[in-house]
Parts: sequence; structure tokens; C-alpha cells
Amino acid sequence: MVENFAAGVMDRMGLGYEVLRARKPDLVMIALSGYGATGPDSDKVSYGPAQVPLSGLSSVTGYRGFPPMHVGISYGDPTGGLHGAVAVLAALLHRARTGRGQYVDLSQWETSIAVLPDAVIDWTMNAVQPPRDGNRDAHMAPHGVFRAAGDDRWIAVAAEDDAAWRRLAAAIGRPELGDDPRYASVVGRKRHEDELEEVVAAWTRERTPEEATAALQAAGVAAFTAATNQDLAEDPHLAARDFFVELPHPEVGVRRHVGVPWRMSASECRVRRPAPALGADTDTVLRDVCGYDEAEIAALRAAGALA
Amino acid sequence: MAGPLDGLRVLEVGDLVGAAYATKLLADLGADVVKLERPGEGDLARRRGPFPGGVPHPEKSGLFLYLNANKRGITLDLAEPRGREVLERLAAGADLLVHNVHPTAMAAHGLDWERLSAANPRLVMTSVTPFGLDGQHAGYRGPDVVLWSAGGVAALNGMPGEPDLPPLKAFGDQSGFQAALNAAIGSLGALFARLATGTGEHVEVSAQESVAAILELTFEFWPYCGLVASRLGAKPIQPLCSMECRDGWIFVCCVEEHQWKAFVDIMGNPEWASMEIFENRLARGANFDALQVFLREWCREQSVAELYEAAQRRRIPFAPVSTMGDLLDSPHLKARGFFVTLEHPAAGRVTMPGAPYRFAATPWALRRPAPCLGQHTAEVLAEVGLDAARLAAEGVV
Repeated sequence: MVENFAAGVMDRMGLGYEVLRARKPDLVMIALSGYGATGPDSDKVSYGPAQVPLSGLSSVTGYRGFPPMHVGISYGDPTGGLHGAVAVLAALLHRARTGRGQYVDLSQWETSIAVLPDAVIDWTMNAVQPPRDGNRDAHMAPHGVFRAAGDDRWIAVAAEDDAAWRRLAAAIGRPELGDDPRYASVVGRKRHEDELEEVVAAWTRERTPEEATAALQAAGVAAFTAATNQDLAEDPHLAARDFFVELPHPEVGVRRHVGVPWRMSASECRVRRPAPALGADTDTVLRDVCGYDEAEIAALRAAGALA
Repeated sequence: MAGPLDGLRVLEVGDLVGAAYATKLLADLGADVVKLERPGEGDLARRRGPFPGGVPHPEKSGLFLYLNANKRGITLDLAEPRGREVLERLAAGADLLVHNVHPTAMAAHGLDWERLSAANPRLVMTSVTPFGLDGQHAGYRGPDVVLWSAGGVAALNGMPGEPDLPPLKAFGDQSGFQAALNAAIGSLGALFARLATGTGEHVEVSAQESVAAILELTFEFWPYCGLVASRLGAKPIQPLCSMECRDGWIFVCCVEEHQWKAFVDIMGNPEWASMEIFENRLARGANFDALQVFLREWCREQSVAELYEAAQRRRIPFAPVSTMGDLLDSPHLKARGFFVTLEHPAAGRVTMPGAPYRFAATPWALRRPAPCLGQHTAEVLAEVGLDAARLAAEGVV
């Protein structure tokens, strides 16, 4: 049983874990709530987008000298949901071994903090709140997202280490900078980061992000287009890998969706059916899973339980 | 008390986050994880920090100490044929091997699925990659700024009035964490399938796809509407944004009409709120330029804590823009025992995030701090009948 009501709602409906376990003793149940099932804030409500500021991610994300930023997506939702899938699979493996189910309480807030250890620990070790520093990185330079040719098109480029910097300098036609002792180490490159970013940008803005990506990656330099949703939907690499899912749906027809971000060599691993229309499977589930007959289903419908 | 994954034997060949967070999730639930590191320098995370006082030290990196608690650590040179023989010996007794060695370097490091699975048909191997094991970009490389961009999230983050500010990455290695979460799920899924089949399989995770998979509806604007989602575009629904108060920032979140009505009530039902241009959430999105002027002026006088409590009392999901200090001071997180403190022989006491979920019957638990480089080499090799001293003399460990 997977549920994401605010904490306490399932209990108030009389469908809490203890009630359900009485019917199915080896049940695995996970409650995914914003703040978790216990603690003084457990009755607070939360939405996925609010987890980005609440978790502290906003406070460390942003352009230098500008306010805290969001990240552009409802990041608390996938981060909470993926942690939930890990927990459920672990609980199911435990049940397969021991025959015992259990209840799991997941806090979206805590899962969102779990992916910020470097910021949290800078605080606990040093009382340092990491400053917002745009796309820069303390250990790599240059490291940013640079304007490319075209209308609002951009490319991410990073020199991961000293050798990668020499490859980058050669690839953008400035091999003398790769040999310049001022830029040989990341300490030197961080000191001159403004100038080096301008050198990279002068090269990228003359090229489309696709051309620049191909040239840089061929030279062993980490780079990729800052892809829009259109770029992704038209990405030949992702299409060749069968990443996209296109299934017929009664209302919207065949549309492209993103698929499963992993592959398995032996198990079937694909999206098998489109999302259901509202109530599409009510009767089959009541009949095949719950064992109700047609008369009982009709009675439930007449009572308004299914509408 | 036992964890749910007690008895699961896991090997990790990982640098930074992509493999290490996947195996941390398993180690914290009871799995016996052995981390293999290069002799000499070890995992790159050892060089990343944060460090106490900002002074780099390979045993004191906060990121490394977090990602590798509950694991045992050995050194092994996989570039050497003898090192690869030892890897095969270890893999012969393992349930799962997770790595994030780049696809172009896998063979040279002995990460040969055919060979390892022939020796141990029950083995599951999970490869965490930047762009996948096949396809025209499989050889591409990238740290987070590249993968967060390649997966499409960076392009969504920016300031609408500032077109010269670039697409913005989020703090930290978020693409690494997303890939690691998918790697843990794929690995556990394969172990679940093995219950029925008796055999393992090869799981492959793409970080680019892991990021693209969390775009939710923003991806669909193209296939459904022919619209490019841009960091410069207006949000359809407002207010859904951070606002500055007199003592910090708060996230104002009114997605539903009743939430907006309750917020207007908190603001004392000002006259401007009844203007037609703010009459529903789409109108408030379309006229956000006007709306935010009023909201800014009102919020500037408020205290974050009072507005947060007032909103929550009316069931509006506002949230403070927390600093790290706010998180450590939170009475709620304290009451739940979320932050944990480990005692490490070199780094001393380090406080870090703890259990992201509570298992009622088989608790999440920290049993040991992250290993010092090579700390468990002799112990682990002895378990598979090898003499670490002899291998050390050969320069392999």
C-alpha cells in the first residue's frame, strides 16, 4: 500500500496500517508525507515545489549576488518518490526472506535534505552556509553554462581536471592557454575564472550547442547542450536507445513521454500501458482483485462509493 | 537489530556520488557493502570536501564520510591484471556489484559482465553511466553541470527578467543523486526478479535519462502543445514563488483557489486582491508582474515564522526558505532524530543527514563510520582466502 496523504489522513478514514494489517498480516505499507508521520510539524501540509526551499536547496542555489532560487521543477516529488521505491523494494525483499511485512514512514523533507550532504556538513563542520555561486564549482574551472549561437541557446562545459583543461584549450583553438602556467592548476584557473569563462564563451557563441558539443566531446571535454524539452524530444541518441514511450491513449492519442531511466538485461523493463482514464479499471479490479460479483459492484455504484 | 537487507553482499567500484549513494542506501538498510578504491588516492570524493576548517584531507571529506558510512573499504588496483583477478574472486561471492566507471574504461577495469556472470550466475551488476552504455553519446562524459543540462532541468531554471543569466544548475551533484536512486531501484528490482529466476542480470542506468525522467509535465509541453518550456517564461499558476520577509525568505504557494482565498484572508483582505486581474490562479499567473508588487510590499513587513505558522494553520503549504542552520535548529527534525553524529578516527565527530525513512520492524541504522583508505583490505581479502600482504608486495592493494 502506497499513500501520500498528509500525515494522519489514512488513520482518520479508518484505513491506517494497523487496520489494514489485520486483514493482511504481511502487508508492506509506505506513507509518503511532506514532514513525516511523527514530530511537531507532522500536521503541516507540503507540496513538492515547496520542498526545494524547505530543504535548504534554494538557499544554496542561485546566481552570485542574487536571491535564493528554485530549481525549475517540483524536485521534492521525484526525490521523495524514488527514495520511497528503494524503501518498498527493500521491505519486500525482507518479506520474501522472513514472511514479515512492515510500515514505512517517509518524510519528503528528509529525503530532500538527504541529497544535500555537502551543504549540511559544511554547516555542521564549519558553520559555513555555502554561498550561491551560479554554475561554478570549487574543484573545477572553467565550469559553466555558456551562450551558444542561436536564439537563447546554451551549452554546459566543464574542465574536470588539469588534463581536461589542456584538451579544452586545444579544442577551442587556444592551445597556448593550455600551456600557460597561470592556468595549469585549478587554483590558478579559479583565480582567473572570469577571463577563462570569456575565452570559452567567445568560442561557444560562434557555434550551435550541438556543433560545440560534438567538437568538445570528440576532444574528451565534458560538454552538452542545455537541452530544452524540444531538444530532448528530438534527441537521436535517446530515440536510438528507445528511451521514449509512445502508447495509444483514448483521449490524447499517441504522444511522446519519457521512459524508464534504466535497462535490465533479462527482466522486462518498460512502460506496459498508458495512464488509465478516470475509473477505467474500477469494475475489473473490484471483480478480479476483491472478488465482488456484478450485483455487489452495482450496489456499490448505487451507494455512490464508486462515483 | 537487523536491517531489511541483512546478509546482502554488495561490491562498489565508485567515484563521487553515482554509485556510492546507491550502495549507501543499501548499506544503511543492512547490506554488507565493500567499497573498492584505487590505491594511493582512493575515491575522488575524498578530495571534494567540505573539510574541517576548509583544509583538504583525504580522510576528512564530509561528502565522502556521508556517502560511505556503513561500508567497509579496501584498496585494489583494477588497472593491474592481478587486481582484476581479485575483483573476480570477490564478485564470485557477491549478490550485487555497483559501479560508475565510465563505459569506455569498464573493460580495462575488469567490469566485464559476460565474464563476471559466467563465474557467478546469481550476480547482479549495475552500471551507472553518464549517457548510457550504447547509442551515439555513450562515450560522452560529464560532471553534474553537463548532465543536469543534458537532462533538461537547467534550461528550466533562471530569472524571467534576466535573459543574459544562463540556465542554472542546482547545488551539488543532483544528477549523481538521481542516477544513484535509480541504480538502487534497478538493483533491488533485479534482486527481486532473482528470487523467481535464480539468476542475476546487468542493470544499466543513464544519468541523462535519470534527470529527464523528473521533468514531469514540462517535457510534455512539446509533444502535446508544441511549446518550448523556458526559464524565461511566465509560470502558468501564481503565486508559487519565494518572497522576502523582514527576517528572511518564505515560499508562497497558492496552487488551489481555496489556498489563495485563505492567504488573502491572512493579508487582511486588501482591496487590490479583489481586482479582476487576480480573480483566478491563471489570471494571477498571467498578471504576476502586477501581483508581485503587492505581495512584495506586504511580505516585506512579515516575519517568516509567523507567516509560515499562519499559513499552515489554514492548510496552505507555505514553507520557509531554510538555511542549513535553520535545518539543524528545527525542533521537528530534532524530535525525529534526523541528523546523526558519527565518530570518525581522523575527522572526529561529524553531524550529517540520517534516515530519510523509518522502517517499523527493521530500522535504518548507522553501524560504522566511513572506512579510512584501505582499512579493511586484509579483513575482506582473508574472507575470500587471499593474503593481503602478498598482494601488497605485488603492488596490487
